[in-house]
Amino acid sequence: MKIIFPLLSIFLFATYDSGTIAELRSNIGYDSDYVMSSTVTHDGETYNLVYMKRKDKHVRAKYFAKKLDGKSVMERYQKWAAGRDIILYSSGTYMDGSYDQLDAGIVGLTVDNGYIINEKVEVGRMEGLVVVYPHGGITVSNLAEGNLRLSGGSADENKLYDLRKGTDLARFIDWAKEQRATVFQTHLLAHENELKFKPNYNTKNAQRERRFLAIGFDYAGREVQCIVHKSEAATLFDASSKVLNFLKNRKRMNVTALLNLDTGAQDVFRLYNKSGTINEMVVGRTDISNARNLLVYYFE
Amino acid sequence: MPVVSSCLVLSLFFAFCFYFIGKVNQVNKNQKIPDVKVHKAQNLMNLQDAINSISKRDIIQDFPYNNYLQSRNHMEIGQLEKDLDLIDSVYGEPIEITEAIFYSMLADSLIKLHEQGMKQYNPDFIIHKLKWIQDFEVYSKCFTERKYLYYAIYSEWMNTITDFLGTYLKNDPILKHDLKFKFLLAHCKLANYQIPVGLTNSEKVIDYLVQGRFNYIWGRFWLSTSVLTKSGLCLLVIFTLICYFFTFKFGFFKIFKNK
Repeated sequence: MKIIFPLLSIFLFATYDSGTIAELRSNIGYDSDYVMSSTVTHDGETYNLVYMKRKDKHVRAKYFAKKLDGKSVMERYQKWAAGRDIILYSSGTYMDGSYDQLDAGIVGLTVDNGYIINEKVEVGRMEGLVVVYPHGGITVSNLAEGNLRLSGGSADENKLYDLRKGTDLARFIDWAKEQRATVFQTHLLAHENELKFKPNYNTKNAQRERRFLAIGFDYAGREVQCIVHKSEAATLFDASSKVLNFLKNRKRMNVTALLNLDTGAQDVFRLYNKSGTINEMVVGRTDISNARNLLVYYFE
Repeated sequence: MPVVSSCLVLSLFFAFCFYFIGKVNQVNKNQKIPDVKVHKAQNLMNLQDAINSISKRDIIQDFPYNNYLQSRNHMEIGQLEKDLDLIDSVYGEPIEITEAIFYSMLADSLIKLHEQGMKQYNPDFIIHKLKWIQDFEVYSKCFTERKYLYYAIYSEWMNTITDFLGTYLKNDPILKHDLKFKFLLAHCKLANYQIPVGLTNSEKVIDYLVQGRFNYIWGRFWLSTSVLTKSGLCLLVIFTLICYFFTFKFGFFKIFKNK
């Protein structure tokens, strides 16, 4: 007994400490003037909010679309994240069919760092086209409007690209390859402050917790991006309309786009505090080792 | 009670067997992938004469699209290149006019022409079209000055074909076991065109069970089902346990007692 308790204490201390150090190793910390996490109650509903200001472009995004070159999404993330100040990571767009890493059904046009994953454009059910630039910026366009603007490389900055047309799509794919852009499609639930919810969304009637990415501007016209998590089970329509209402009225935000993030079988989410420790405000039910795709926000 | 429960179990077993036998019989057993024969249309139309009187302003609207498709050998790249050069030389607008005309014709118009035929699942037809259109991806790499045109035509056809394949699968899920469908699926996947293969709810449950996602299954069941469903399932579980209890108590006990 005299030996067991000290040994047990040392063992517990060692494992606890190594766990904390392992988390801190890839998270040196970020500036809390740019990132605010809070739980807000509005009209009787609770919202977990990560509010990120894009001022000076310190807050940046990165997207891992799929397992590539034999490396899982988690392995790719871990290698990329080393030495970076990670704010959060979350599952991205939803997958169809089997969610096994090899056969996971990627839906919609998908490009990962210039590498084409899926060229099939989903029209009619996933109108949100998200472009993540290598410098960490994100732009969202509504495919149905056919007014995507591109800049850099071979893009014609005066042209509005309609990816439903093959000729524009061919040029866009070429541009994405040369710019090493990352592109994916997801449900565009709201656009320009209006709900764009369509009745053919598959998850319309299923009730579950929901997570959204909102991109827009604050009351002073400054670019902001938010992750909004609703832990109470709700249909996609209910949750979308409540979150949109919350962002517009409580946060006084001009919502350019509200996008759906997967909280189904690959509900991956982790939020870090500014010191680099884990913030338990929202915790995904799935470990990152099961992530099929990953949206990451980091500070630079 | 033991007789009733035994009958119930046997009935379930036979129902299970007949279900699978029925499913297997639904799958088309025709295993032969068709050879593709290249159709060589005759050049019955003189393109130069056809566009002679059409101005630059009107050419996109007034170009003889249907006549060209029916009377010109658009399947051969050599002939196609000559026609493209001809339009370029007459109107001098490779993107605004030549690209617009030929994309509209070989993608939009040709797809519309075949759309009715593709509404029903016809794997031989789609295999033929797939093999033809995949050449256009190669042309986009060979003829780089027209890469966007050829790639656009290829992309539009691939998107259309995969859309139709997705619809066939949605209407008839048994197709996922059909050899020709698997062949088409594999071809599209190799070309980076994924067709979402939706799983039914029962297939998803099997998937999650295999992955050991018991908590997730329980969570989804609890959130997604009504009180009535939960109560019904609970009663079914209790009834099954009672049946097994009596089967063991009276059935096996009797056997051991008689021995």
